[in-house]
Amino acid sequence: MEGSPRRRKLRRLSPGAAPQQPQPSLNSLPSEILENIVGRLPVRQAVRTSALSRDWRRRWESSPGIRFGWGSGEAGAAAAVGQILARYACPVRHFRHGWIESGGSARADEWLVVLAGRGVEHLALIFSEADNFLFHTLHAAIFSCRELTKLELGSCRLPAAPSDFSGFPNLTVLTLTMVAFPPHGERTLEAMISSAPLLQSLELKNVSMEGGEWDEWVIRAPNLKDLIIQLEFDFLWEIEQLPSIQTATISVDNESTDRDFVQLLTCFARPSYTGKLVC
Amino acid sequence: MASGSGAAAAAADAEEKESGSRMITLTSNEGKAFVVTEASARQSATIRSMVDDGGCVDKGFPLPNVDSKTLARVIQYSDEHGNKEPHTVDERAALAKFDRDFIAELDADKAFLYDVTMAANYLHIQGLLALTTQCVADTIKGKTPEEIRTAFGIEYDLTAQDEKEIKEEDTHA
Repeated sequence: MEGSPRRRKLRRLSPGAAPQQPQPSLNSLPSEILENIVGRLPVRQAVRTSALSRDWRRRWESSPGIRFGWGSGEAGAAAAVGQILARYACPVRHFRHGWIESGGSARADEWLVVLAGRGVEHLALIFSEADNFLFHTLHAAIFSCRELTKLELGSCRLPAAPSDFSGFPNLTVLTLTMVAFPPHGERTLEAMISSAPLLQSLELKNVSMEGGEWDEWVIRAPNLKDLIIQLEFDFLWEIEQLPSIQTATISVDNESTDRDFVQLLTCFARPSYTGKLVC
Repeated sequence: MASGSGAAAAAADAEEKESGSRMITLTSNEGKAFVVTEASARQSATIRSMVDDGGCVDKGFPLPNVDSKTLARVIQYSDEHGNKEPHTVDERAALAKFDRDFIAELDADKAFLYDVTMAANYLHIQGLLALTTQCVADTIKGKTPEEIRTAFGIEYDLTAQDEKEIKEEDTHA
């Protein structure tokens, strides 16, 4: 019994921590500042501010800068994402969904259509691994996301690029893990890379091309610093002109190729290349 | 923290570069004058544009929306960020520590935190505004609506209809 009054006394010593004292209201700040604050919250927390008071009911919808992020273990999130996207009235710069269940694949198409019109810059869509490797094919709106600076895709299939695809001119990071391309998708991949002059990091892990025949294609990236290629099959890629390369990890299953990789990788055997090369 | 001689050296250094670092007078709404270096004043985009537009540097700048206590605190921030440009890792770490201590002190007095936030917004001091708004956002994170209302003096005024709508929205989110 003696302990509790003492604890109360200690609390009073630290201003702001005393729960009995009424706090000066945050609502005295102008809406411009309150929106700045809400824009710094993760999306779910931002949406929940709508339960604070009447003034706050719709505030998050007009707060620029909210980062959209969902991870694994958030059941039902796919249904919520579309509704939240529809209500949010600002550009969506960051959008990440780290675990899209197979039931949510169709909704992912709806998000992409919205995101293409909202200037998305950082986009990550990781699908849960599909049964029998039947990957969900992304909506072609992915090719309309011209503001992209970082793109990460996992366990999905890209459609063929539309004929008017003009690339991702601001892309700096491209990470594809378990991504399938349709027949002759190497052309799409080549275009994605070569149309991105600012590309610094490229990871191609277990990327696959449908169809049995591939044309030779070239990885051309003047600003590429980090390159990781881990493929089960050799898709006849060549490396050309990587003057900025710092680290490279290349591994291709030997069974699938009879090419001379030493020759292929001569571009790393330059005095300016100081990084590591793992084959 | 800079030692006395370090501060004196910095002041002498600043005087040497007189052409690039005039002194500027900022006046609070209580009429109190604060003389600061131009480098410090330029932390404020509002003052920066007035100076660059050939404004009345000699007459000083009256700030009718900022009281003396708030202005003194804002200047403390602007001096630290404007007068010393961090070059080394250590200098950057020292500035980051300054920011942490600065905001921790403000956070303990919410009314003052709001005043400084308003001043940072009015004066367009982006770094300071980011620091104070991030502080509020960090406090909101992980709290229930009831805890947020208590922490920030927000009055509960939702109707039953509002509550019903929130519940419906929440089942989706």
